[in-house]
Amino acid sequence: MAITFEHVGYTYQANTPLATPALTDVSFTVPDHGYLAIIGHTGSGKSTLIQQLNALLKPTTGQLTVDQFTVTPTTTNADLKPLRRHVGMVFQFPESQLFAETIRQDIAFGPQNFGLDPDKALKLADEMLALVGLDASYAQRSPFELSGGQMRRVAIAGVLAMHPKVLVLDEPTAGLDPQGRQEMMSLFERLHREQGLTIVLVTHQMEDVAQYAEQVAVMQHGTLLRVGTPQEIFSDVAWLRTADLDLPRAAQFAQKLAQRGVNWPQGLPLTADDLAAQLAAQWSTKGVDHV
Amino acid sequence: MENIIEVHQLSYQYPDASERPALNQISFDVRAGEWLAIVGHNGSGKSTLAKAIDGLLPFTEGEVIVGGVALTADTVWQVRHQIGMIFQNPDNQFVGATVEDDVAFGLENRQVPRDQMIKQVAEALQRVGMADFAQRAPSSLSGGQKQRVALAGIVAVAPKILILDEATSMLDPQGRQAMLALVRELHETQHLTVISITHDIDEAASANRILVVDDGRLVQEDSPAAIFAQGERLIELGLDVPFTAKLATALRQRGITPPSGYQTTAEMEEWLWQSLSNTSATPTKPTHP
Repeated sequence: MAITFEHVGYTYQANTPLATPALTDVSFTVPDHGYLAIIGHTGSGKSTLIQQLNALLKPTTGQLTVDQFTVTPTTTNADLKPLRRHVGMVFQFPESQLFAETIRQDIAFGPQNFGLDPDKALKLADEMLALVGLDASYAQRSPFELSGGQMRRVAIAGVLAMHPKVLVLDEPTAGLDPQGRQEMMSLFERLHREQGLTIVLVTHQMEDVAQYAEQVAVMQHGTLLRVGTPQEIFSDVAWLRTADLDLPRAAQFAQKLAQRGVNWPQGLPLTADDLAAQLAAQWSTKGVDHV
Repeated sequence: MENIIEVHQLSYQYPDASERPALNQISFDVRAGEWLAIVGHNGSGKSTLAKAIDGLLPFTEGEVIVGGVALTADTVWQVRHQIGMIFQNPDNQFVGATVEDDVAFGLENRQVPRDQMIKQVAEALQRVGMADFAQRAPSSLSGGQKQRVALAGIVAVAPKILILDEATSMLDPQGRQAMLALVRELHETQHLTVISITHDIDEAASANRILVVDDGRLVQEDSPAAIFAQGERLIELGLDVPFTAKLATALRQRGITPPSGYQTTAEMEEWLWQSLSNTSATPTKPTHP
């Protein structure tokens, strides 16, 4: 599903003395099956922006289109039900929303709510459990006996059971250990690749942006500063500094070597692999012995 | 250096868990003024261990001695007065309606006279760079600011020991770095003993020594450099793989062999620069100027 924002503005408590503008004139496009990362500091408008995607918040000005659905300031909630089915939202710490007695009941809750008959919903729950990498033995267990990372998988399985076309993730790896983080990011990558899901990821992890995203949007004070490929965004080091954003580790390291005179003819490397590949190319041309 | 904490053969089993014990015969010492990191994957027992030291768990087997005081039901307050603890979620540890009330809470508990309390609160907030926020509601602060206020609450009562229980894991990278810099400064200037329970490689790198806990047992104890030299295996220990180790792996896959063992980023940078600029050097033996 493609996403288009056209001059979207949003003001909290609009038309009251407490009106607080949170988004101003935001325009961008994510192609069908795209992977967009949204970066920016706390309070930059990232969360307000993603809540437009399933119309939890409707724009105060402008409009957005998700596939064939268009949301304008006057769209009514009744018109939004189909959109909400297609846009799966995974909020921060989604495991806090688990509630059912067993894991499969929890996952089946959403589809049942949208009218699927209980047997089919439970069968679907079992499929989703496998999709997020938990084996069938978990189905009858209580979700509250699981580790943090496992609980988060169950919560995500519940979102996937709605068969969304767009998956919106708000800092999905916060609070997980490095192994849990890695597994979680691989899961989204797999869903993106195998099921063709469009992914919108809000993150502070520049490593994840460099490794997974196809497009990056940089937010600051409610405005979209820039949107581009990770290579375009991270290559402009001076600009990033003015936006007070970090480079991925590999790019920081490559920057230091650049200050000593090393050139990066294929662009600033953003990942360890990319860095090693560019170093290896220079290694042979310089005639250094290979081991 | 004297031992400020001694743990002997500590075991604990959660009452509702029929399975394995959460802590299994753990013994170690912490020297006064030391920075000790405790690492392990989620569920390994490292947070349980921190709680046991602070008298938050009624362990039945083993012994914990803090500042020469053996921890029992009768001495728990003598032990806790020596320890300041910061938890993962800053929202779970606020009691005051304003930032300064919150920082004053520990002093009120210790019945510090009002005049002195006002002075100590102001100093503590100054110390952590939050003096301008004294009158603000804690809920209006960012995660990083909240953790700094929590740290001010500890600075105000000046304990000998600071325990950080994944205290930076919910902060953004800049908030995390600011918090770590502050803890480092307190560690150096106040001779504060720091125990940090963490998954963060930078936080673990600040330590003098790292303990690895797995399945309730103490499985390894070594310097950060020795622990980090394990490369890809670190992910099983609950840590991330250091960037230099990832780069070394990627280089080896392309036929380039960096020096063995853990390299800091500065060492790796130097070695790569030397190897690239000195065409006659063999990559495995960098020439030093």
